[in-house]
Amino acid sequence: MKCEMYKKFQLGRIGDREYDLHEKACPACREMHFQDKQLLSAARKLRVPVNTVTLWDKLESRLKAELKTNRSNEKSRTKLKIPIQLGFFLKAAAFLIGIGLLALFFWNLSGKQSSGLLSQQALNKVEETERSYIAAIDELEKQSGTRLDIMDIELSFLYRDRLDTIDEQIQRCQNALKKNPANHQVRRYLLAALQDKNDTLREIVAFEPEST
Amino acid sequence: MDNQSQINIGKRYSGVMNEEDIIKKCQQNDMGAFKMIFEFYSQSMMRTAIRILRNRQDAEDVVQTTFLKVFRNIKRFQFKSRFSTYLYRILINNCYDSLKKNRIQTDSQEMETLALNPVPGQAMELEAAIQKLPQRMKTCFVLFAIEEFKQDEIARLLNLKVGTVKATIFRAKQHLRRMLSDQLKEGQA
Ligand SMILES: [Zn+2]
Repeated sequence: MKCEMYKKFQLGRIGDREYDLHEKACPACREMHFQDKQLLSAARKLRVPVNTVTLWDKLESRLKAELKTNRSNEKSRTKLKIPIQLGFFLKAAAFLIGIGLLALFFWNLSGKQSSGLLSQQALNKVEETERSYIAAIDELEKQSGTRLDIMDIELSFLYRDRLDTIDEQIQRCQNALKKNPANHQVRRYLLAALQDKNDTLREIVAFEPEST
Repeated sequence: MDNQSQINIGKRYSGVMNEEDIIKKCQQNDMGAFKMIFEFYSQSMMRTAIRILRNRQDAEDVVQTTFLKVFRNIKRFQFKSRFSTYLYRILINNCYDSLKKNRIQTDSQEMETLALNPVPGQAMELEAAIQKLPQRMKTCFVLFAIEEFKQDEIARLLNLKVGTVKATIFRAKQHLRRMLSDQLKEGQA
């Protein structure tokens, strides 16, 4: 049987001192260690210079152009400064609209249907479905971590990207719902996003790694 | 990257500024500071991208996209992680995106990595052997052995456990040892 001590040392399962003592008495591990040193010293030599001057030139001109556009956008924004009096009226209008929306929301909560808003009964039902999705997602997330670690990195990045996008979507819906919990449209988006996350996590959990 | 390059990053340019100061200048859109960051990282990023993508033109595009993304969003960088981790994570993501887009091309494409190292002999054979490693193994080995990243930083930037990175690098060395066994024995003689 081949000696496994060098492997254990490389994987951090045994310490330096223990390994050093072993290596003195084990020619097989000594040879593997020596070959690795040779390999790493050869690899360091592949750190060759690459010409990136033209790359900087391209990047610099793009960055400068972007900065210029940003600055001119900022200037036009400051030119559009709202006069103080108008600002006051806008704030007052926003306040009144807010009061109106709140009244509409409570009116709707009392059970009367209005387009775009859910009744209290429907809202309860939707919230219950959401809670069951969230519970399933929590469970799946616990199992998916190790799967993501063992799968091909390219694939794991794809899944992580997809999950990030869904999480952003969920976050946006939840933020919108803080202001208006009965919004029918946003609730629908949230439910779709939760279902999407649930399906993606199921896919990850069901993943079987190819043997390498 | 090794600690040495982290510590020296400021000294390379001004003798006073450290990386954090340079990034803060970038956050104020200082073009000189952008250039410092570019000069410090671009060569290593290009080598890494060429080895992953096996094509210089694609690598240039990916490195340029990475810097643009990073510089556009640099105001949001809050120094909670190492800048190099942040930069390389975006680089590797972009490399894999590019691989996805050009999968058909890459499969049939001749390796252009040799453009990095035209000297025939041991180095060329090692380069060719590295190219034969599976993608994740290659990325881990290149970052560790050539670009001198520490294994825990590789784990952070590839979103893997340190143990997984250690095992992957160990397997990469095992594969390479087998592929280059004659050469390595010669070195011992
Ligand atoms: Zn041994």
